[in-house]
Amino acid sequence: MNEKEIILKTKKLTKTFLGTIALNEVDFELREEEIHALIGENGAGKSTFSKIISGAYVSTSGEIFIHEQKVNIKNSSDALKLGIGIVFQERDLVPWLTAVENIFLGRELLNSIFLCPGKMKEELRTFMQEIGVEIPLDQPVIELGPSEQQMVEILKVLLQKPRVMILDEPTSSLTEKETLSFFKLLKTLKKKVSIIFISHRLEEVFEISDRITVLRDGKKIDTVETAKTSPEEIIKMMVDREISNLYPKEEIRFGEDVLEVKNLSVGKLKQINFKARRGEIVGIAGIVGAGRTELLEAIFGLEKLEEGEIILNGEKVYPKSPGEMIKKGVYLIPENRRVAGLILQMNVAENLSIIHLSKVCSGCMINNQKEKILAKRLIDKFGIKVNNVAQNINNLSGGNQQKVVIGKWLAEKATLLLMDEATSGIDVGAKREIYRIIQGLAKEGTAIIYTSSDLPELIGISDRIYVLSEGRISPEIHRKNFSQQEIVKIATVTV
Amino acid sequence: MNTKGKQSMLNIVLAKYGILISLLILIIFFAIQAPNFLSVRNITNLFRQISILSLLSTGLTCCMILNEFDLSVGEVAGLSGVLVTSLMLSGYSFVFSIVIVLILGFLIGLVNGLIVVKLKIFSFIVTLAMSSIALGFNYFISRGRPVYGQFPNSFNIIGIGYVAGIPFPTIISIGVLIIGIVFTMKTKYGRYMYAIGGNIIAAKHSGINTDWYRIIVMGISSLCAASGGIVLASRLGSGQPTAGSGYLMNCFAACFLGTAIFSKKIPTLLGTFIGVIIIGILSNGLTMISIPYYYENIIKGVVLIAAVSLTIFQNNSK
Repeated sequence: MNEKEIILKTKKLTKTFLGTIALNEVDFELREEEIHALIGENGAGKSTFSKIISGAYVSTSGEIFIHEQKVNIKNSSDALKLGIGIVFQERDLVPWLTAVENIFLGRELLNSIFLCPGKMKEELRTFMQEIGVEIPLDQPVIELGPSEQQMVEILKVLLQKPRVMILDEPTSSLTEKETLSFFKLLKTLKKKVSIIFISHRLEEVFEISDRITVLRDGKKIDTVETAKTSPEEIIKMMVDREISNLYPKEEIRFGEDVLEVKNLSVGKLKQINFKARRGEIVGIAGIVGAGRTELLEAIFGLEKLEEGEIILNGEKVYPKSPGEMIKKGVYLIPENRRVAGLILQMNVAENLSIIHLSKVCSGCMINNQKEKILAKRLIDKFGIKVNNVAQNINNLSGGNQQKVVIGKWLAEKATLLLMDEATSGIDVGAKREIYRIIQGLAKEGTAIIYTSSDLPELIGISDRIYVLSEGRISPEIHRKNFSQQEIVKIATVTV
Repeated sequence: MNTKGKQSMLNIVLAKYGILISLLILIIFFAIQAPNFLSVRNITNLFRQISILSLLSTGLTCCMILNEFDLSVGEVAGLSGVLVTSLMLSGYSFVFSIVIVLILGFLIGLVNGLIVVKLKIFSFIVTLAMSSIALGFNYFISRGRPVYGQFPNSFNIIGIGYVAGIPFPTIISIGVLIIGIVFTMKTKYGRYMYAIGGNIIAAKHSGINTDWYRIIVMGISSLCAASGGIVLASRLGSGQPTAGSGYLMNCFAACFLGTAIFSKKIPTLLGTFIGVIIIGILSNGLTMISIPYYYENIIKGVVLIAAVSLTIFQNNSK
């Protein structure tokens, strides 16, 4: 099996930031024609590793070898010259430039000082034909869908003929269908360029990778051949304990209706009907763009209803503002924590107290002692790992940040908890803790509405599932009737 | 590894205290160059001189905390000075005149805020336009000429009076500053202000009524500008149409100097006040050592850049 040459190797690669060891003497090997998955919890060091290899960071110590030759990577252009390209999770394109313009950015084909758009397009078209890909070339990339935008970034890297391509969470904004064709592409590509595939999604890793390297707390735990291992083994390496039950589910008796939505229409949503009861976890499935966030925001008072009724605990309500709904015990945990969930310039305690700030005030003056006590209580309750409560929120790992996003609401009991992709971008261990938290809330009688793109997760934790598709909602599906295929079918069939 | 450690310590100290160190250097410099610089008389003078800038900068900083700009502070101050003097000359009592002008100032700010929030136009543009409108009304009332007259003594005290050796304008500006600092740092309303400035989307999702805050705080900014204009008119003994124009740049300079303090890079009232002091010391000190006034702007600009660049030595973790 070792006939394939080693393209990239690291020896004792280490990175420290001001006393924190982000990467601890990591040895890594990437072979020719390989898709090598890099897995680990948030904070394990995956993105630090990929940033060092691609030149965004400089390593503190350790060596990098390309084709057994030691190399020095001081910045991204060094990395590119050595044939290392990276496609990040978040899009890095100039929105109003076209695909061609973005792909050739900085490397435009010129005739003395003039651009040659024709030549660039031709080169691009030839390449796209070779690998069997097609994207619109003349529209500004902002008008393209997420999978097409990602393809622009991948093409940008590929046209520079790299030996190594790092893909950071490439499927996070793709639909199932798009992921399938993406994997087909990767299998063709790996013959030309070896791929380091960073992902949280174990099913995908097992589908596409040849080998898996697991990182934990900055250290490499092991590298195994995908065919010779199992998800359980990988999880054990990631979190160092048996995760017997990924989705803790208990029998809970449901109470009366907490929420009833009748004929709600707003934006792309039309005639939505559904309900949620005390103690129930109601899952909302649907592809990206189906309207799940819009639905939750309408209930929360961020969007005005065009039509329909919302009945909360038997009373008709007209949500006009989040402030109003919060007073009624309705909380929305938003989708993108960096955009809507956290105030990054504030510290952990300040973020935790922002929702129920009055409760730590004497009159209108903030009582710092009370605030600290509240922060400590929430940190204990939700297992948030911090050095101290006055720490800047930026320094926390993604999973811990997400716990802050969730925890800050729950200082006061929720009647109805709306959760929008609450476990996106966090690792298995933290996810499980969040599921436990959700179960605990359900036991206390909170009704929970939970949207997710992760179907196994939704099936694991929900009591009933509704599927949103093109703005319309399906009839409810009971837990005993859950089937992944059925749900995907409903989500993608045009109503 | 050891030298690297020492270097980062210096960087941290510079980043955190660079501005304060600059302030110290300035004080020492002028103290050496001019024998009377540290005299009680001069210090009192200095504080009286900066009180109007302080008032305007306090209001502006509140806006900046919310990530909004108020480019109309100077012209609102100018308009207020002209208006309050004109009202008194027309026979209205000084109390009435002051109250009307303050209310008007607040209303101007509210209008700014409403346009920003409801019409979703950037505050930069709205307040720029409003400053032009304010200047227009200024000339309309004053016909471009100073408003002179015999004003009630109680009015004159505001600008030139003393209480227990402390100039009246200083009492007003420090009073407003203290209220502002307590409000922004210690109350929940202040916390909400910083939340809105930090991440308005997250603030909205947290139930904060961001529209309301933006409108009211822009009102406060103009209110402070109006109060500054009134104090200025009292000091000058007249309503000078052009009195407000020069303040805008100094206000922003003070505010940005303030953001460079304590390495947090966010606007704070205390930070702005230190910025105000630095600008005031520069002006006062240069006069004390008899540097001609036309050098003042150049020196001020250079010192500003130097002071801020001291603080950019952040630990480069890359």
